[in-house]
Amino acid sequence: MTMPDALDLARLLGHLDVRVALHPKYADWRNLRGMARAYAGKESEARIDFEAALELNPQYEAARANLAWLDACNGIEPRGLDTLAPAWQTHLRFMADLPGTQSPAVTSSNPSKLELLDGLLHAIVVEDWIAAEAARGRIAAQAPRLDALMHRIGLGPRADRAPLLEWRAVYRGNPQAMSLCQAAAEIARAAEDFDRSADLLAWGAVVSLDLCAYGMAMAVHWDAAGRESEALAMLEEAVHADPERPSALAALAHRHAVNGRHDAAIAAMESAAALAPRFADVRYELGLMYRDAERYSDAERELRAALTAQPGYVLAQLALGTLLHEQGRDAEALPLLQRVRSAGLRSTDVELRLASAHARLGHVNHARRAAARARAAARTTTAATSDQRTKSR
Amino acid sequence: MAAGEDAVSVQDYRLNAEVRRLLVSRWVDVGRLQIGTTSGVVYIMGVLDTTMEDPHRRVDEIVHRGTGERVLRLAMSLERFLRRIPDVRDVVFKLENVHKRGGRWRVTLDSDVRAAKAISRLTGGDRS
Repeated sequence: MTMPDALDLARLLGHLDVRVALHPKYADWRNLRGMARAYAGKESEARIDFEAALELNPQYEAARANLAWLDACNGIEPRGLDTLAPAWQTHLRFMADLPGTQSPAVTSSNPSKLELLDGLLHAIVVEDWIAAEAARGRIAAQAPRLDALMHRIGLGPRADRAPLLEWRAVYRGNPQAMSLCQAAAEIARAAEDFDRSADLLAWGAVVSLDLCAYGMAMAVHWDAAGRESEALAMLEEAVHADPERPSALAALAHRHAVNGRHDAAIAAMESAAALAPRFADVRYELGLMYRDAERYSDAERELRAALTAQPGYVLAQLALGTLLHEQGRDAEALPLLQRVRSAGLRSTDVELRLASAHARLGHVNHARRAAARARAAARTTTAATSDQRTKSR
Repeated sequence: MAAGEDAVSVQDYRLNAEVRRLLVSRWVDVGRLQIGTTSGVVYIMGVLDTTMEDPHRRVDEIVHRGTGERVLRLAMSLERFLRRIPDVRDVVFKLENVHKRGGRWRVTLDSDVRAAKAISRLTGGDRS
């Protein structure tokens, strides 16, 4: 099976057309559809999508790189090449000058694997099939995961030339092809075609060489298939492939937390926070973890850090307000809880905390009003809960 | 002591991870949501939508059904599933495209109209 066949471009394009129609201001969908259109041979339409993505987000480097990629595909000097990140420049120059140039720096997380694949790619380009087989053997010995993925997509030792040439074409084409593979794999999973989903992700990994992204995508795959231990193993592999990617560490922390492994969850999230101290979601979630572990001063520090990174983070305001209220620090908790309420996030819990804080500060009238709102909210909650229970019977 | 303090033993972070997992498994676009849990109460803010349509439906069926109805069904089913998670005391939504009033879910009109127009453009039909 080759990637263009496995992608089922017609189906993928149908899916992306709907996403773009539903979310016309979402640059990611535009960029992804542009790539699918380009692979389907609809180059002028692809260009329109990339330009639209850039109009929506002028800082969107992936779309700018794709416009340059279209130029390179047509043998034109890619426009704006100098404005792209070094990895993109290397890749596009590599495309234009094949054979004989250095490898495209698609990812920095696995340089040794990149060299291995580059050796294979070069052998294919110059049609030295003995060297290609030797390169394939080195991959088998030194990178077992990559070897397994190449087997899965038909690039085993002594592979036919056709799939190798197909792989070369895709590999040279665009490292963002991983995103297309992920989107197509999602469609396959929705149809419960898990074999196809795994094939597509294997293709994505071999094309992009991003084994960390592969691990995260496969964790979602196994989760959808209801195989939780495999999902955990893939996340551990993702972190092993790139120990410095905060999103992989956060995903691993979520998985440990669901499995009740709190110490492991905290360790993974602490690593993510150390790598990305301005990532508000990570600081917020670490704050929740510390609160669960009754490490209150650590929780307060993390929640404050989340609010420093993103002052309008309502859920962090709520978590910090709740923490301070539980410690009897009502004067500090009150403005946070009031901001939460002003943002429209109203619940029995928030109203009761407001009532309690006002009462302890001697604000009798405010406390009464908040208590009345809490009673009204409680009636709504009770009705919703009993309604759901009735429906679930 | 305020209500909720008796629920401090609830593992908010574990619940939050469970909620996130449930949303992903139902094709919810979590990138457009803020998801939080405090004292067993789950809070979900932002724009509710999926990353995936029903694979057995065609584009024109999605159009016929209407974007609003699609998101309404999603909101209703999510509320049902979230309330079934053990230790969840309440679920509070603050969403830009749908809201709950008087016990019933309703579409926030602006987003529905925008999406319907977009779909109409896609299919070349006037369904307004």
